Amino acid sequence: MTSGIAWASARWPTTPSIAASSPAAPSAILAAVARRRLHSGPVLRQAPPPPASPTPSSAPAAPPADPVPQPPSSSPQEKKKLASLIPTKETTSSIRKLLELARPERQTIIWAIGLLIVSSTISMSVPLTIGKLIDFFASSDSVRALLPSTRRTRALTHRALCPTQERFLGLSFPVAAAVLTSFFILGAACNAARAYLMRLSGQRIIARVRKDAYRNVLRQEVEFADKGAGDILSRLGSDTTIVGESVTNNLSDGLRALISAIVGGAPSPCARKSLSFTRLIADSCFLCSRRDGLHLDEADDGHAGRRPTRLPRRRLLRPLPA
Amino acid sequence: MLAVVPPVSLGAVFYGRYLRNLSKQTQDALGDMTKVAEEKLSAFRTLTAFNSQCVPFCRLDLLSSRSNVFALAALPRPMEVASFSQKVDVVLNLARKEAMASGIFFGGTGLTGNLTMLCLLGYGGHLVSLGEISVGSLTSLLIYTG
Repeated sequence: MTSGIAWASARWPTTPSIAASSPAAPSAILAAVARRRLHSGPVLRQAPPPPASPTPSSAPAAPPADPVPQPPSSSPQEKKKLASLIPTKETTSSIRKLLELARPERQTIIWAIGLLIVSSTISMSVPLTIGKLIDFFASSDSVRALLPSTRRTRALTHRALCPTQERFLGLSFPVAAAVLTSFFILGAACNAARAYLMRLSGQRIIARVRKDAYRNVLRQEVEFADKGAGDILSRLGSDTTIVGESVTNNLSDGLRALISAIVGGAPSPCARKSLSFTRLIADSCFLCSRRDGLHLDEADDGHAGRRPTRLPRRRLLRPLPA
Repeated sequence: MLAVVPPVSLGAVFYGRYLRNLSKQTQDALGDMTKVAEEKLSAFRTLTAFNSQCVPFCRLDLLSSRSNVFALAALPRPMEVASFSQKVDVVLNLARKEAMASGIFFGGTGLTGNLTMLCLLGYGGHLVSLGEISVGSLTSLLIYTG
C-alpha cells in the first residue's frame, strides 16, 4: 500500500501540466481521479486492503493480520501531501502554475529577456536620435533663413552662431551615421535572437507538457480514457500551444510594451511634461490590451464549443490547424 | 528610397514560401502526433490488457519511499510513450526551424526599416540645409515612412 501511494503521489506533481492548460474542466476530472485513488487506492494493480485478502505485492510491508487498512505512519501525511498537490483555484494562481511550467527553460528565458532589454533600448532610442537629427538640420536651416543667403555669409554665420551644431552628438555626420547603423545592426541581431530564443523555449515547453500529459494519461484507469479521448487529444494538440506561448511570446510582448511605457512615460529632457503624460496614457492602454493573453484562469472549457469562452478569439484561432 | 522595396519584397516572398512549406510539414507532423495518440487512446483497453502503458509493475518496489521517486526516471521508457515522444520531437524540430526563420526575418525587416529611415533623414536633412524643403515636409515624410 505504501508503494502504491508513493507511486500515485509521485505522479501528481506532473499532472498540473494538463490542468494548467484550462483549469476548469480537466482539473476537476483530475481531482476526481485523484480523490478516488486516495480513497480506494490503486484499483487495477493492487488488491483491496480489507483484512481477508492477503495482497501479494505488498505482503512483506503489511502483514495480513494487521487490522489497520493502511500503515498509520504514512497515510495522514501522504494524504495531506496528495491533497496539496491537487490543483485548486484558491491555493495556486494560474500564473504561478505557468511559471512552474516555464522553470526548466528559465535560463533561456532570462537570456531572451536580457536581449529584449537591449533591443528595446535601441529601438526606443530611434525616435530620440531622429529628433536630434531634425534639430541638427533645422537649426542650421533657421539660422540661414534669417540672414541673407550668399554662400560666404552662410558659412560665416553658421560658424559664428552655432559652433556646436556643426557636429552631431559630438561627431561629424558620416561618423554618427556609421555609429547609428552599427547600433541598429546590433539591435536587429538582439531582436532576432530574442525572437528565436522565446519561440524556441515556448516550443520546448509545449513539447514537455505534451509528453508529460501523454505519459500521465496512459497511467490513468481505463474509464478515464474511455470517457474523453477527444478531450485529451484536444488538450495534447491545441491547449498545450496556448500554455507554451502564454509563458514566452506573450511575456515578451508584455515586457516590450512595459519598457516602451516606462521609456515613453519617463520625463525626458526633450519632451514636455504634458506630452509624456499623453504618451503614458496611450502606453498603459496598450499594455492593458496586451494582458489578455494571460487571462487563462478565466477560460473554461471552450474548445468543445459547449459553453461560451472568455478567451479572446485570437488566442483560440491561432492554434487551430488550418 | 524605393530601392529598398525590391530586396525586402524578394525576401518576403522567399520567407513566405519557406514558411508555407514549413507550416505544411508542421501540420503533417501534428497530424502524425495526434494519430498516434488517438490510436493509443481509442485502444486503451487493449493497451491496459497488455500492460504496455506504464512503468513495469515489478519495478514498483523501487518506489516504496519518497526518495526513490527519481528511480522513475531511470526505469526503461515504455514503448508507447516513446513513440509519442518521437512525434513530439519531430514537431519541435520543425518549430525550431520556423523560429529561426521568423527571428531572422523580423530582425531583418526591422533593420531595413531603421536603415531606410536613417538614409531618408540624411538625404532629407541635406535637402533642408540646402533650403529646398522645409523641416515640416521632412517630418511628414518621415512619418509616412514609419
